[in-house]
Amino acid sequence: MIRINYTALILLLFFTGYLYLAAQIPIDPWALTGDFTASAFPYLAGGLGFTAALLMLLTESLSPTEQNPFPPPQFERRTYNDPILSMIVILVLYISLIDVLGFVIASIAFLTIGARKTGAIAWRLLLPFAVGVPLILWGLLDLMNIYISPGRLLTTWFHSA
Amino acid sequence: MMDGLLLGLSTALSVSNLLFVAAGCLIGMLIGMLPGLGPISAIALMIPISYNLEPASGMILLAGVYYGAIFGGSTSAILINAPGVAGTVATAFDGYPLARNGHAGKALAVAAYASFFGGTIAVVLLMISAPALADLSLAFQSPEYTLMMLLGLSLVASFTEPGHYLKAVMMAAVGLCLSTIGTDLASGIPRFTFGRMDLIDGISFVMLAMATFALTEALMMLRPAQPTQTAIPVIPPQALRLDAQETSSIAPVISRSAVLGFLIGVLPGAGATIASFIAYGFEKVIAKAPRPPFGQGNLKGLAAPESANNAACTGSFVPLLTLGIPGSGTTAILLGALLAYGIQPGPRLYLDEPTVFWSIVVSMYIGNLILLFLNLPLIPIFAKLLNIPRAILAPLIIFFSLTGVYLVSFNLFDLYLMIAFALIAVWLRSRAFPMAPLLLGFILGGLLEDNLRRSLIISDGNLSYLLDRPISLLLAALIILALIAPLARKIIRGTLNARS
Repeated sequence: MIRINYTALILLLFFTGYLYLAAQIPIDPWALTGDFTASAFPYLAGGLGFTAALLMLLTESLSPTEQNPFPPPQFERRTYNDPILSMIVILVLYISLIDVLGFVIASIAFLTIGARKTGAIAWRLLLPFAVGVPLILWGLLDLMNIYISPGRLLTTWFHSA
Repeated sequence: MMDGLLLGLSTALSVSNLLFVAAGCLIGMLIGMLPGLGPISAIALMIPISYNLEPASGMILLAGVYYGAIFGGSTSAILINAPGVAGTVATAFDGYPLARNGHAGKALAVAAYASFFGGTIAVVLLMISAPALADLSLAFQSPEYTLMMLLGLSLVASFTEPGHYLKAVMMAAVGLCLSTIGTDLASGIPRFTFGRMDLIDGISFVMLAMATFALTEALMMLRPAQPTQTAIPVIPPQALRLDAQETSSIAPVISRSAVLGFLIGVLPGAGATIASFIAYGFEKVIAKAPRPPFGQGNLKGLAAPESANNAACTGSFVPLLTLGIPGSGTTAILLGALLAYGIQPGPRLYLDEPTVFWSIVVSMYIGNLILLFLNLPLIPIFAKLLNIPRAILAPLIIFFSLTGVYLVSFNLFDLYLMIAFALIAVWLRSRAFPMAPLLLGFILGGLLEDNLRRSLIISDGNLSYLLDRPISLLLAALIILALIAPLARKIIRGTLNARS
């Protein structure tokens, strides 16, 4: 039975793409044939990875077994409650809001929503942590003269007021 | 050596550096205590802070974090059977049964004393051996450095479980590939930047370290299959005392294990985990009718791995500081931190940067003292940290990881890239791909390319120049040995299994 290690296959595709891009690196106009150009090391690095991925794919595809330990990815309908993916979505929102809301407010919102999403915690436990940590950090940064932008929203409001 | 030692003492004993080492130990212990977060995550979290300090102070802080994290890992291993660090897995064998039998305080005290004496003996051994190795420094040129980097890369096998060699090689190759992103310093040609200015200086080491370790650990904590948390009992301060008989029984164990741990730690790739297991196994073999038996709360079974893992941590600084080879994932991060300061660890560090070298050595000793005298009485308080709900802990680690990267560059692109890397790292780790070789490849990639290019320019493209001198030949032999070692180990294990 032929088995396919899909992780090795994906990595093989990654290294192939990398080697393709390495071949597109322009060569210095004054370089001679055989010189150590800007693409020489990427060829070595990509070649090493490509060889290892290919070896893994071949050795694990050809070794005899009755059961496939690397089943193909199941594209069944996933639940929308995957905790890691939910957290990633919250993180992306948090990062995109740093510029708008400012570091402190965005961080308070992230810690509150992140903790609520991760597990049900009482508000009396959650609020001191979610509000306190960003404020303490902001205070420490202020002490060290590290400037943190208050965000476009606050700046606009302050200027208009 | 005495001059260097005095120089190190004068630097490390300044008030600010004493505060840094104390803070490092304290923070490292707090982070290391949390299951899932080891010294790598702890150091990765602290690197952005250390960038604002002088190189010596920054390295003192990070070395303190390393020690503290290992020590903290023992606390969670003893109290809740959840080693915060792989190097403290063996600690749980006898530490947890001791705690379960109502001797949690005694177990924590033995762990603290064993860590202190193990670390102290190892620091003395480091002071004796490091200068001898550094004498080789003048013989090192670009071919030797090239081979040294290759030796470091060839040791990826030891970063991973048996049978996962190709996975480690692939991860090292991914790290090498990532190191090529940005402007090629020799030709000024941008590589793999896709026209983005954000990538013109390459990928940030801090971002990659945070993404692949701290952020990944926190995200993996969110998986539904995680074990439930155990409530920690209150530990009174008087429970941390040992009687004379107990002290005399563990003293020789600590000394033996310290020497063993140091020697294992010096070997690149071996590290604290192997050292602690070997020390535990050794004591178990030589013990005559131990009471209670090993695995059921024997103090020797707790003292041996604790002494060995701390000594191995010190030992792992020998190849890092004197040869520039990181012997473990943790020292790979420390290597990255040194490079970020513009310091090239390796044979010349001892001569070029004596302040950094000796202050790290001295701070290790001070770190051990601080762990014993400052942190031991605080253990009952720290232990309460283990009761922090995961729902708070995971977002907090994620928040500090992101903040750490944001405060270095103030570039939101780095944060998006970090999330992408963390997501890929979670996927790869769930398929047993190790992350330490990736970081090793990333760190060594730039150095390898520079030295290889320099060697080839000097020799007019002749590769045999790399093997022209005896040191190069010795290094090449070591590379071959490192590459065939996993295969030899597999054959030997197969033969032994067949016989049994």
